[in-house]
Amino acid sequence: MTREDKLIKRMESGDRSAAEELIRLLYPEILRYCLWHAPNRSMAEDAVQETFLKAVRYFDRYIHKGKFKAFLYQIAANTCIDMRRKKSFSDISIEDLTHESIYHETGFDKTESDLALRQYIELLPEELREVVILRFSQDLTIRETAEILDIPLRTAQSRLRSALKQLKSKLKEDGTV
Amino acid sequence: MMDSNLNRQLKTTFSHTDIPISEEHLQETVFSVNIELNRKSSINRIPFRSFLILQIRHMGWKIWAIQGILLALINSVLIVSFGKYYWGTQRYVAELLCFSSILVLMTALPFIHRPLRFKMNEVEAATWFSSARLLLAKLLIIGVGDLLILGGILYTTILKTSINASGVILYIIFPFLLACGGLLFLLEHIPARFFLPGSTGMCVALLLMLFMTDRIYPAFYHQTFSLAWGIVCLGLVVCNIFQISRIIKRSAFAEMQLT
Repeated sequence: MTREDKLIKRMESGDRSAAEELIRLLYPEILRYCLWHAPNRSMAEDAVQETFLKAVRYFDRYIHKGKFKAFLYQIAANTCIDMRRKKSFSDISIEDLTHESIYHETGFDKTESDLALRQYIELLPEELREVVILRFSQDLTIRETAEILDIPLRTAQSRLRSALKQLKSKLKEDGTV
Repeated sequence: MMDSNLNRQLKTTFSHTDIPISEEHLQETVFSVNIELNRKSSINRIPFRSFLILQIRHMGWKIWAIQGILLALINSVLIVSFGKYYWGTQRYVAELLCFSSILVLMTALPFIHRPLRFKMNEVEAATWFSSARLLLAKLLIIGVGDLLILGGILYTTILKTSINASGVILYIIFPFLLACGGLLFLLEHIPARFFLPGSTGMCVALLLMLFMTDRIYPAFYHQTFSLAWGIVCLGLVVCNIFQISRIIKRSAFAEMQLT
C-alpha cells in the first residue's frame, strides 16, 4: 500500500489531517502540471487550489481503486481549460508565453536547448503535447498517462511515438540534436 | 538510438525543472480545503426516497395532472368524433393507442426542457441533490405517470372494445418505447437548446409515420403481441435502460468536471 493509498483510506474514515497531508504530497506535481496549461503562475496556483477543492467536494463519489492521481489530473486539466475559457486567454500565443518569461517566473530557467525543446513541445498538437507532458514532465508511466487521458494504452503509446517523431525532426532541422 | 537520446534529453530537461513552491499559497489551499470539509460535514443528507417525495410535491403532480388532462381530452375528442363506430374498428383503435402513447410521452417534454433551457439543473442540484439523481428522479416521476396513464388507456380499451388484450398491449408499448428511445437519444446527444424542437419534431414525425402506416400498410394495425414483437420490445427496453445509465453517468461526470 502506497502512502497515497493510506492517506485516501484515512480520508475515507473522516481523518481531516489526511487531507492536508495529501495536498502537501501532491501539490508540487499538480502545480507543475497546471503551469503547462495556465498562462501564468498566479492562474496555475488558482487552478491547483480549485482542483483540490473539487476533489474534496466530490470525494464521496470517488471509489478508490488506486487511481486517485488520475482523478486529480483529470480535474486539473478541466479546471485549466475552464479558467482559460473564462479569462479568454485562448488567444495568447506561444511567443507571448515565452516573452512573459513564464519559465523564468516558475523556475524554468534553462539552457537554450532546453528552451528550444520546450517551445517545440508547446507547438505539438494538443493531444500529443498532453502525452509528452504527462510522461516526461510529470514522470508518469505510459499506463498512468493513458488512464488520465481516458484513452487505450495503445493509443497513448502511438501518440507518444508520434510526438517524439515530430520533436526529433524539429530538433534535427534545428541542429540541436 | 536517436529515440533513447531524445527520451534522455526530455527526462533531463524536465528533471532539471525546479519549481519553487509558495508555502503561503499551499497554506491557503489547505485552509480552503478545510473550509470545504467543514461545509460538507454540516450538510444534512437525505435519502433518495425523501428526495423523490420532495420532487413529486415540487413538480411531479404537475406532470401527472397534465398527462391526465391530455388523456381525458384525447379520449373525449375521439369518442365524440367517431362514436361507437370508432371503438368497434380495430384499425382505428390501434392507431389511437399508438397516438396516445406518444402524446402522453410528449407531455413530459416541457418538464425536461425547462431546467435544460434555463440551466436550472445546476441550481437545483446544488440545492437538492446531485444532478444525476435529480435527472433520475424526474425520469422516474415521468415514467410512473406514463405507466399509470397508459395502464388507464389499456384498461379502458380492453373494457370498451372487442380487440384482444395482446394487440392492445402491443400498440401501447411499442410506440411508447420507440419514442422513449428517440427522446433519450436526443437528450444524450444534442445541445440543450435544441432538445425541445428536436424532440417535438421527432414525436411529430413518429405520429405522421404511424398515420401513414395506416394508409400504406394497414396490416400493421392488425397484429398481436407475438414472440417477435416481444423480442423487439425487450430490445427497446434494454436500449432505453442503457441510454438512461449513460445519461446519468455523463451527468455525474459533467458535474465533477471530468468531461
